[in-house]
Amino acid sequence: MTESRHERIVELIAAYGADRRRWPAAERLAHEVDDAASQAAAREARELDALLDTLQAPPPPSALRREILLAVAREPRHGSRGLGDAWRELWRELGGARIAAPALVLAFGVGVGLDWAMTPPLGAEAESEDLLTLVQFEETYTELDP
Amino acid sequence: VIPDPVASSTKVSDPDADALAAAARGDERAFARLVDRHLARVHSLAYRVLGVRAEAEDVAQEVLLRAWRQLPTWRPGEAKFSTWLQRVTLNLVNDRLRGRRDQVDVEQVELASASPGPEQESARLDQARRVRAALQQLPERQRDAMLLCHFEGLGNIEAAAALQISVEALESLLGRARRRLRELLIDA
Repeated sequence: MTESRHERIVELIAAYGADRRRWPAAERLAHEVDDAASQAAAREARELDALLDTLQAPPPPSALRREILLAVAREPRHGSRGLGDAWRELWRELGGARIAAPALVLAFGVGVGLDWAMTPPLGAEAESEDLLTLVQFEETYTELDP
Repeated sequence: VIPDPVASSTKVSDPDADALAAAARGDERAFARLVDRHLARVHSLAYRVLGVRAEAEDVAQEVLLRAWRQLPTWRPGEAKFSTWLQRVTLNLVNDRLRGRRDQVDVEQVELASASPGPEQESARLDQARRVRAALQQLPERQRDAMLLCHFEGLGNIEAAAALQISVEALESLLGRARRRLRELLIDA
């Protein structure tokens, strides 16, 4: 075995451990751990590998998948979206049914109220014509009085 | 825009490409397929270091929601989706560990890991706690390299791409990480 190849084996063990399945694919079969120094390095690495492998992770709970997909369904999408999405997003931005809806109802109520207040009631036009006539009549009357 | 350009300028072929394209158009079923493929890996990456189920679940959810939000700006061929997920997961995990530094969270971690069982299982859990504590003491880049290569089983090229470093730099990080872990777990 050449010196450089020996050095490479020690480097591989130092970086990836003793298990060749963790080595770069191209080098798994290219090197044999057959000298004393490499074998000692591999023994030490195996000891550490065994300890590290005690750290396992449980599978995620199935509820997590469901929660993620529910959250996704509620999420606004940015980028390619239609007018409907934009309106829905605006509605959400405005607070949705909790805030925007009461505000709209209030605004509608105020609008209707103002309109009602500014619009003369039925017959009001005729009444104002009568008043105008009366004023003109009174003015005419005062002029003639003396 | 995701993903950021990876060191290599060559186009990356991604087994998730079709599902990504559909999900980017708003197809929730396509996104569900991506969740099915990647959730376990994202979750395990987070859990191994954090050691608290609820935190690992929060991280996994946040990573996948970020993916959903950013999919319309996904640029195919720049990086694999799995690589992007791993990078975002590591960032969030490291953020949480930094946030923990001032507050001792050991009790919570131990509660999450401890479960009644045979003596052997209890010993394994104890070892696992030691390994986790040692991992948490590593510098971030060394820890990230160990997580991707040793625990997640990524190849060196893929792990280097996820960390946006060269393969040589990755091997250097791994070598230093293993030396430090040996000091903490065996030589101590």
